[in-house]
Amino acid sequence: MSGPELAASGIRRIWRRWWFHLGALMVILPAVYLKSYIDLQAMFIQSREEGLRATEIVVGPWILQLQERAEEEPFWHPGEGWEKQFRVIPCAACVDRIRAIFISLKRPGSTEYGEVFGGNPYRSFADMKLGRNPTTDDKVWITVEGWDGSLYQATLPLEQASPVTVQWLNSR
Amino acid sequence: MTVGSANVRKKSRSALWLAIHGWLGLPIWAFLFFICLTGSVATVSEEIIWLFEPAARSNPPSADATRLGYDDLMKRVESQEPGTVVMFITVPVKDIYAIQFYVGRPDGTELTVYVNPYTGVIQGEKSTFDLRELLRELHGWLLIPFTAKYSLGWYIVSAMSIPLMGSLITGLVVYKKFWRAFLRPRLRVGAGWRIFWGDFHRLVGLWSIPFIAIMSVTAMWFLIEAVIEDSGHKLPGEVEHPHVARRHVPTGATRQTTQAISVDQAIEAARRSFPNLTAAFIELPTDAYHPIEIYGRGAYPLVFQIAYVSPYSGKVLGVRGLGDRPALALVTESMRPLHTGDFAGLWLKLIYLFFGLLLSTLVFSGMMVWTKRSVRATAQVISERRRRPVAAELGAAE
Repeated sequence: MSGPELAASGIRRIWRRWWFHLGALMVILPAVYLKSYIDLQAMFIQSREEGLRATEIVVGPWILQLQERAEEEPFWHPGEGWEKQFRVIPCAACVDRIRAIFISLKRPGSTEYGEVFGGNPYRSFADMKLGRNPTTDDKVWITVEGWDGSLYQATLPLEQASPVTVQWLNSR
Repeated sequence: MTVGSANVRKKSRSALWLAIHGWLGLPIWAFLFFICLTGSVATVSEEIIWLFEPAARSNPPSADATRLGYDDLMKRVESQEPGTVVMFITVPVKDIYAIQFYVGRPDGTELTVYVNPYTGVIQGEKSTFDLRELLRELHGWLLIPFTAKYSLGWYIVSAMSIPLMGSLITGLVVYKKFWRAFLRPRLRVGAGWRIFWGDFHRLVGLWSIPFIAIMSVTAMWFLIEAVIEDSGHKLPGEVEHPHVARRHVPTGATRQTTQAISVDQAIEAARRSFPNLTAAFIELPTDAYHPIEIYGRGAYPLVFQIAYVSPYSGKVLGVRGLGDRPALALVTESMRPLHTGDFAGLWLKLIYLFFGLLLSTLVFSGMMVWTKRSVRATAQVISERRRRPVAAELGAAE
């Protein structure tokens, strides 16, 4: 037997002996994702977050910061369609007097104002639906209701609320 | 056909089943072992946290201390952290644990704090490193994050239910008259490793039949569940939660003054629908249209009875009891608690841990048996099949 042949048969022997332990390599997957897991935990448990961009918007008497993750493109929500996540931070004095905040791409109906922001009222979340035919000229409608029964609406261009969504629409 | 050839056929068929049994597990044994082991430890992760995190314990100030109501707890949390909004309250099954309040702080952060059920003192914050969460995610989806769809890891792990169930079925087929071994267990020590691992594999497998059946069926449901939801369909019995209609939302100055119904009052209202309900989970509204949601276990502890209570009138807007679910939903909603064993208390968790560890050893011993025997057996089956056409040709030539 020549040298290379010997080496090949050596490899074959090792392979025959060890191949069925290779499933252990699957454990590499969680190791790869460990960093993203730790970041997500920091985000969920301590709400620490980077890469947020904010736009100030005035809705009636209220001043809100509309936030998005600058890099985050719309995502496909099975059964619901394309959605883009926003957060909203009302001014400190507004929080207790606001009873609901809604977001909608394009003008909402007169009884449904779009997606309601939920979670911590100091910094709540909503997934805005992009609907059937989103365009880059669409406006984002923010509806704010006060506990006193008042209702105010304001709009801002999609470009201002979420440049990444406009880029994403252009690339499609 | 002679008796002899029927026997040979039977033997060859059972050798084939054995080969299938081996091949189902062997190439993935190490991964399956990892899943079983992390899953086993995950069943007692809460108990592990209790051991190492004093803030997670209920710490009664004296032996005869009584637990406070939720309204008192809420007041004391508010006085310790003014402006903090409580979003939900988790009450562990055992009273040796602190109550967990998930709160939103004025700086925009959200986190879980441990509250002493006797004094209302905030004993600590849940740390960023949450062992329970880590084990669950490692076991359930290999830490691969979810998007709007299920994580890829969820699919990989839940697909392991297929070889697991296949191993159970083929194992029962190849283990002739396995029920007899319940009465005559056999574990030969000192007769060589192959004999020991073989006996061990059969013995453990035999006593784990119900556990493996539960794990593989529930895990297979997790796979089906992901496929259903990711294809945009609804799960059985999934319904919209009731909301407070806009016309029923009164006007007021602030949330605190308008949402007049307290947690204890809401639980009282829920008890009108579900007498003797003990709240296990309470979700509080953070906008005007969500009801207070009270979750509690009833006679069938695997699914929650839920009452939706108006935070303005205290009226029950809707309930979801056992009878309000279609039969199929009762089955599918039971899958998760059946898989985790977290619905009855410590004793069941310890049983799950025990059988989980047994299942891990089952995977390991299967690999040991294979390396010591089945490699040879498979080679034999294959070579026999290869030889047969040659023999037939020889027969034709004669």
